Amino acid sequence: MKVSEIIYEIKKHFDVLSIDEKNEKYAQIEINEKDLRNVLLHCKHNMNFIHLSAISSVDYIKDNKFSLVYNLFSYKESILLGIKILINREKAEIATINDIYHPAIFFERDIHEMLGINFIGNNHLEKFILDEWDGPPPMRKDFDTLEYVNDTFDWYEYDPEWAKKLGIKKEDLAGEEMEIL
Amino acid sequence: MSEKREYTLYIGPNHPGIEGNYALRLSLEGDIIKKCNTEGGFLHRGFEKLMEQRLWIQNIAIVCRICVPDPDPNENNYARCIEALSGMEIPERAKFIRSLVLELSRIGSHLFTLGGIAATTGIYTMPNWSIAARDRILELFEALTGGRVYHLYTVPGGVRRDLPNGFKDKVLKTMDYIEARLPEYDSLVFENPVFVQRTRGTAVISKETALEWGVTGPNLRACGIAEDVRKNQTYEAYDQIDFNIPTFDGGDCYDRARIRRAEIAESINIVRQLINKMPEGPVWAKIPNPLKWKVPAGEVFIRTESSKGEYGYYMVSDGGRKPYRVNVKGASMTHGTFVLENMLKGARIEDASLIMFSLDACPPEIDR
Repeated sequence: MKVSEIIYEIKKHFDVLSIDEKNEKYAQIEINEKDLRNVLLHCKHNMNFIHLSAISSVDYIKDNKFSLVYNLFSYKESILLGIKILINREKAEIATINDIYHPAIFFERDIHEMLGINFIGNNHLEKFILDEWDGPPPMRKDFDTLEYVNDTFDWYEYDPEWAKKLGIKKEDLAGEEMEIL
Repeated sequence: MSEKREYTLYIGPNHPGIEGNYALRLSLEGDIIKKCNTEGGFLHRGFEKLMEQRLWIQNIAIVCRICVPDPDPNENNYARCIEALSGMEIPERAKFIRSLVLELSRIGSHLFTLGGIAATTGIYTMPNWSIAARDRILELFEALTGGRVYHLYTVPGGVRRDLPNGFKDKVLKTMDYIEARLPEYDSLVFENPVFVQRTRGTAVISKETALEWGVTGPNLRACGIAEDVRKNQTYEAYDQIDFNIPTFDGGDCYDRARIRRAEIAESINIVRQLINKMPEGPVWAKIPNPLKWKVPAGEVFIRTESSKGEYGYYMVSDGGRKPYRVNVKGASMTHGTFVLENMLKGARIEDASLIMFSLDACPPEIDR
């Protein structure tokens, strides 16, 4: 079976906004946010997509959107299918899918922590990695790491004794900023 | 009699019975674990954020550090994502060398884990032996790439340089050595009554549960399901190699240890075939000036089979000189969190380390 046949099947029941077919066995489609749960249920129960490989989220700050991509894999057909939705950045919340795919329980926790998207119905959204962090979700594009470091930490002058003895100037110790960046 | 029946115990974040820096918060009643909470973050280095601020080529130095014992699947996965986005074809010889590197890395990682599993049951000879054998793999890597643990060898477009003179013979000799050691591992560990008693029937995962929980890699194959990314979405030179996927039906700690020993034997077979079938030719396709390289806009999700299970990289490019987003899904993001938590419920305290090592959960993958 080819991935185009799978997409044809999905199209019969749901609106597919865009199709990005990479090869015979891998495609990514975009659907409406409201259809997500039904599409996933349909994929799992009627089309053998029993494995949720990952959920990835991207912050499209210019469009004021977050994307969520649910990558499903079918062991039977060896097909990888990415299902993408866009959600509003201001009201970043969506219903959990961990009752459909159990591994989502951790993927959602990770996205909640890193991008601040709320998954309604997931009771395991407590902090995992950043438990001593009270700043904004760090993977959002408007979080600037350099600005945060400048605001939070004090710089100190590096002028060690050994350099003075050797007659090396303070300016020469500092590395030059790379132009390409 | 004390009134307090339940108490809390931390294992980790620094403990010889834990892989890497990771903590298990256990609620105990006697020596039975009632509840387990995993606590990560001790190895968080913010790699995903860092990658958005570095050039495409600079990130090669970052990705390998995502999993310390088995770094090469990361490099390979990252490189293949860029190649998929820019529609680049890599030379045939480079595919063989990449597969060779992946298999050597897999053997090294499995040897590490086998030593760990055996040590948690008190067989401390095994880590001494298997880590000495792993050192021979690291020597091969040193000869090939200059680095022992991190290799920075697989780069977009191919590999960094060709095999050095006499390298093939060295690899074959090392494979012969490790293959000759395997029966000794059997008599030390797998036929050892203490080991069998401790691991047989401990922490069993059924086929259905494994699929429902999203278990992948050797842990899934120990439940009797022959699924492997190398076969079901083949990449590099694996389609030209004749190899089997070993499986066992038990789904317990014993089979999860045994599958790793079987995979070492299978990887040795793959390495020999790769060496014999390796074509001549260039090893690196021409890539644009890496300092000005703009990867075409697009998004892609690519999977690799690592020694821990299924790896996935989701990469988004906006056509700029740096990645817009790289999301890493490590195999241990399922094995090391809720799978481990569920397996430990009802287990005995002395089995906690054994179960964690048998799942081969790698904390740096979870923390990134």
